[in-house]
Amino acid sequence: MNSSLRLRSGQLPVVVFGTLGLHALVALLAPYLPLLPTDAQNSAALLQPPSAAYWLGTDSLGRDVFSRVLHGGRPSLVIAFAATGISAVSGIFIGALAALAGGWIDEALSRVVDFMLALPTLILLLLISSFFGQDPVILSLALGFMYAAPIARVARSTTQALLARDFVRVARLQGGSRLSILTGEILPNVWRVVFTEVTMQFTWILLAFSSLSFLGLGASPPTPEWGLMIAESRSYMTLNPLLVIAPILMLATLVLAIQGLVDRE
Amino acid sequence: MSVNADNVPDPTPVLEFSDVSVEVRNERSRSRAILDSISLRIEHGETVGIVGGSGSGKSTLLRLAAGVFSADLVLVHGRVSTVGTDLLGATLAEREKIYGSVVALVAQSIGEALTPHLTVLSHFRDTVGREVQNEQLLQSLAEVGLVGEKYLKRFPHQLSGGERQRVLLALALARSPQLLLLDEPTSALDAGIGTAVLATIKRVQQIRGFALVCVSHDLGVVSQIAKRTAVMNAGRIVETGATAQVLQAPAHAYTKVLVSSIPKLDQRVRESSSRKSEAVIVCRNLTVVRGGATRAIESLDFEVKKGEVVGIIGESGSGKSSLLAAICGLVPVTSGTLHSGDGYDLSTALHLRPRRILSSIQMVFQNPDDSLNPARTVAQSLSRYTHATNDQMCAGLRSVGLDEQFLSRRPREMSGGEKQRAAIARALLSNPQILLLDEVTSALDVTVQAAVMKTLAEVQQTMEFALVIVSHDIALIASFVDRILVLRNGRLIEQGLVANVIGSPADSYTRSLIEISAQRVLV
Repeated sequence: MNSSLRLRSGQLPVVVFGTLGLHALVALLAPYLPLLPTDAQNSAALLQPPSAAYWLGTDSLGRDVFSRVLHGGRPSLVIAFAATGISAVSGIFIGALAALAGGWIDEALSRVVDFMLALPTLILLLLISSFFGQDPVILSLALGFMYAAPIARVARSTTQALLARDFVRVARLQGGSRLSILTGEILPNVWRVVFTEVTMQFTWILLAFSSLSFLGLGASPPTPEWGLMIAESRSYMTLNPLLVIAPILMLATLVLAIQGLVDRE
Repeated sequence: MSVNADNVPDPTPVLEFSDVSVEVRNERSRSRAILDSISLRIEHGETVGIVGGSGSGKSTLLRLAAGVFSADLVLVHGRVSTVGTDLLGATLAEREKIYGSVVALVAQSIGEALTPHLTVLSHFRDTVGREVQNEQLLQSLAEVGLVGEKYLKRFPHQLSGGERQRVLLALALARSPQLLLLDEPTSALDAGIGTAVLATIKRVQQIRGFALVCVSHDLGVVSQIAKRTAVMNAGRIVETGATAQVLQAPAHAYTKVLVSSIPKLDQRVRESSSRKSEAVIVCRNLTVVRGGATRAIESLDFEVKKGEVVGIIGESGSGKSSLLAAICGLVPVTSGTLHSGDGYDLSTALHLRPRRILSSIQMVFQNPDDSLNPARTVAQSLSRYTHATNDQMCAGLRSVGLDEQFLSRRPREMSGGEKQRAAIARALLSNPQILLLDEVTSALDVTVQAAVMKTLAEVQQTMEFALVIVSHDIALIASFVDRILVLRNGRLIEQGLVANVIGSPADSYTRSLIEISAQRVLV
């Protein structure tokens, strides 16, 4: 919807879909590509600059940065997909339920949502992962439920607006049951509105998980993960800047491409 | 047909379009002609009306005249000259100088044209300048019929629709423009208020002598105000001439359709149905309270007979829509009784009603953009609750003048008229005994309205359901229904056969409604 983007709307889709396609291919195919193992250490080649053997050089333990960077999106993407799924489903469920039920149920659910929105996400995540460890299942659940609050809010107001729409009234007049009106009239239209929010959340969750890894509470070594790679290599970035630049570029291009996708909507 | 202001003989016209073509370009760089070789000359002091359906290009024409040109429009060729200046080629500074003092535009949406957090006084100060005297402002407000200092301190939400339109008019006139452009000046107002606003515009114009261009979809509005009328269709001016001549002896085929589509008080478009004694709705002493303490309907007594067509008229806020909503069960009955013909109590909540009762009462609503689920195809919308088969849906669509290829369409691929037809088809698939129509054609062009009403008359005759129609357009009701109910402030003030109510109204309120309507229809 941004006018400055619209001017370049000719090239933008190519860039967006090209970047997303490349990221998807790399994430899916990384284990099958003829790359060096991500955890193979070479004590004879520590912190090497780029060369024919090591395209992006090596890190402080002599591991191939190129291989690690290509593998580094996989943990965050798995978590982001799982957590976004959880946040979308639970958010829409809570929001639609609040709007449909009304009364004290609406009031109670809305206050819970307000409470969730007031919590500082990252600090809560730090607490959770320091209590429960770096279990990807727990992290996905925690991220998913935390990010469900804004979705619930949008879903609630959208459902309320939809209930007053004429086609929903007609469905009631034609004898539609509450369930069939929910699945037939409300949810498809709620999804059209919430979709943008969900897509944006995917990028936030991606960044949140990388931030956790950076702080040492997301992915654990020796897993190749962008946030963790940045954290491990920042002391050596003067020796081989690519150690930090490569994972940052990967994360940034992925997030920007997904947000570009939303802008096109 | 140019009428010069008698005091200033000026050779340059106040507005001139010479061979103007404009295209709209969308994101995929496809272009579509929106104005096609428009030539139009308006002299000082002249009043010209421009009529046409939606998408005919009339609003674009008006915007060009005011020098408003949005980024997706492309001027293919031609020149627009406003009081001798090419506003489209002018710099921003030049345009700002001209705007307001030479040409002024009153935009269509009176709800949005005033800034919500500014008082009327602030609006004037922004337009005329800080140093303006209150007496001067009171004078210009009085000129448009708003007398009293209280109006200066009011915020937009404290003004009625008619008052807002008058304030906009006063703002537009504040810097004494030579040309006033009006975009649909009455479309958001009740007929009576609209007529009064038009009378004010006419009076002020006679005193001040500015030229006036009034764009409207409604020939009735144009006929009240303009001496000369241009008819637009698909980006072209198809006919220009004296308003009376355009209305009484239209030359172009489109104008003929347009004129014949206007409902007229004394011209039936449907045979009256034979009156049966069996009732389908019986309502006694009905009262409906909505939103707190306001009584939308108060002690109403009426019946609807089998196969009968009943029209309900009244101003906005008279309770017309609330009555329909109560009959179909969307709004609870507060007191009194409401029964179906076989004695079923219609004050029962919707989800407790048996299927037989639910499907016997159907309703179609006003807004075509809201009548179908945007996420579903027509086939899905038609069959989801009626469980109609494909053949039934095809027959249903055909009965309202649509073919089966609409089954796979989505609402965004359909025009307003097509959407309303599909909504009517869906209601009919329930096989109702009574169909309630709430202003179903008010958002449609008059030609489309005429076609939809004709279709309705046909299906009503074959299927013989009772029809209750609510409309603000009295001529539309009078030309279509068997019996009329007149509502005012939630009370039934008059009811009877069309001929009796329209021919000799018993109540003075009904008489005034009919008079306003008669004024609007053709001179």
